[in-house]
Amino acid sequence: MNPSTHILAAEVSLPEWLSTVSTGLANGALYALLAVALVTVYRTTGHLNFAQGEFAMISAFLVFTFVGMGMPIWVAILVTMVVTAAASAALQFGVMRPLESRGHSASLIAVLGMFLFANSFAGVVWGVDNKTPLAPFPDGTEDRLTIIGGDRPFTLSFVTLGVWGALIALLIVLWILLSKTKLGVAYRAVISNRSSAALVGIPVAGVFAFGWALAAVPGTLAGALTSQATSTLNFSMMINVLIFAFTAACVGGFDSLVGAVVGGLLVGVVESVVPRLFPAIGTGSGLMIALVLLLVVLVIRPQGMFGQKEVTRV
Amino acid sequence: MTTNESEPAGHVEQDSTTQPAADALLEVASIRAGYGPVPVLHDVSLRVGRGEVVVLLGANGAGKTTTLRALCGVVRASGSVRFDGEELVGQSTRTIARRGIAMVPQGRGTFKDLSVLENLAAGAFLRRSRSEVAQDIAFWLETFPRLGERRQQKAGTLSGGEQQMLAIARAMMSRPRLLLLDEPSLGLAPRIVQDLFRMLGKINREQETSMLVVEQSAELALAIADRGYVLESGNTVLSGTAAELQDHDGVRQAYLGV
Repeated sequence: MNPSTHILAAEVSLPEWLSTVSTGLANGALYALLAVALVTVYRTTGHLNFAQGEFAMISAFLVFTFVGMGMPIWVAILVTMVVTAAASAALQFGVMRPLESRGHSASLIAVLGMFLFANSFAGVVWGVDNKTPLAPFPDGTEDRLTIIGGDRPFTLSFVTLGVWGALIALLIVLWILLSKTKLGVAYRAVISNRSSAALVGIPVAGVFAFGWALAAVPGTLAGALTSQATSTLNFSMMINVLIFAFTAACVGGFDSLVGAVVGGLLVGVVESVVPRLFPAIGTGSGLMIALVLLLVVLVIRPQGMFGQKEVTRV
Repeated sequence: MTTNESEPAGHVEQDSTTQPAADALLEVASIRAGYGPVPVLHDVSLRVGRGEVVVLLGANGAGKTTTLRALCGVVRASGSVRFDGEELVGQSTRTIARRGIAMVPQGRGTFKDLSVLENLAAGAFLRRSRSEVAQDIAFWLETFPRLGERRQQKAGTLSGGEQQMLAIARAMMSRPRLLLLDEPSLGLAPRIVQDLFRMLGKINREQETSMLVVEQSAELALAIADRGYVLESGNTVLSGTAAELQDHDGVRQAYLGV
């Protein structure tokens, strides 16, 4: 027997390929959302906030609670964005800023503390059982868009389309905010050169808090949409997504928003296409595939695909 | 021309300047400043009159840069800095910028990831009127045509001279009454340095912006300056008109290479 038939997938039809790739892009869009949150914080203050996934999880629970109070889901999502943005700004100002002079390890431990606190907080407030997942988009069995009909159809669920739409909408809003508004230009000025920004009168500490607050917007979207896409709503729902998002940010380059998006989509696609190409790998090994991809990128291009080689960043 | 070795610095001023002290835009009296426990400035006193260009000379490590940083609030200082009658010591950088002092830091300090236009807009951060800011941007792009041609380009892609022009234009976008310049000629070709000082002289005349310039190329700086000070180990040791300093033996030997 030819061994290659074991390793390579025998025959996969076009619609199957399309659906594999679109699944990858749908997962990838979720990774991209959280990666955008990670990169936003990193670009602002140089912190790797690995509590970002837990913040997103708390956002999902907040949306759940607000919906329970009778709010329409998208109103609940917007309200949650505002609430978590304010909380993130307060954390930056009240916890991270005072630690700035204490060096890297102090802020690292603070971030770890936030991670553990957020995780336990969710467990205490909302319990450890799975709650009814959020449903920002219609997700009945009929809620699909048929792209190719016939015996072997290719369809896209409204959830998948919605996740893509949310990512695109977020990018448009971010682009307008960062390049067309005075606040956005001031924010980018601070990122580009802190001391010059202070000299022209930009309140640097305020901009740092703004950067953390801004990350809550993609973070909340990531939490709410992951809940629907994975049909989960519990205190550990974002742990896996965080690892993929982290990989995505590294692949794309930690200082690049474009990189976070491309990295997220790429990680999603690789995760879903590779087991298709090589059935021997198995479909449950997405995490391993992502980490191999991370390793390859780190060896070939340590600053990521879109990242700039940073000389010193403390 | 006076030498400040035994007398307090305040007396030096009155002997050597034509303007009465009350009319000074900036009046620095015996400031001390440093980084952490290390003092860099011990006793620096100087004055900048309205519309004047004043040059600050001194060897490496004399405290020229620290003086400018203390004036714009980046380094904490003690003593007295009065700007247009208001005390600036203890004020934040932002407040000082709002009062009308702009700084062109050493090494230009442009926002490298922002376009030329965005750099200029950021310079006007404290101003409210959009239409006036737009007018000023147009004015500076006309004044520095090279920047006009590259308005959409990221500042990081500009040449050293262009970046220096951008840094100056950005500082002018706040419509400052006093412009602090830290080594504007650093790393630039001699011909570009000449252009630069010609532009600074023009800005001083046409915009009536007072200037305090720290400069290694003492000759060019003295050519556009009204007066100057010499700093030594954190003390102002000498002051005089530009002409007096040019003729002073010590200055000629140390800074003019004659």
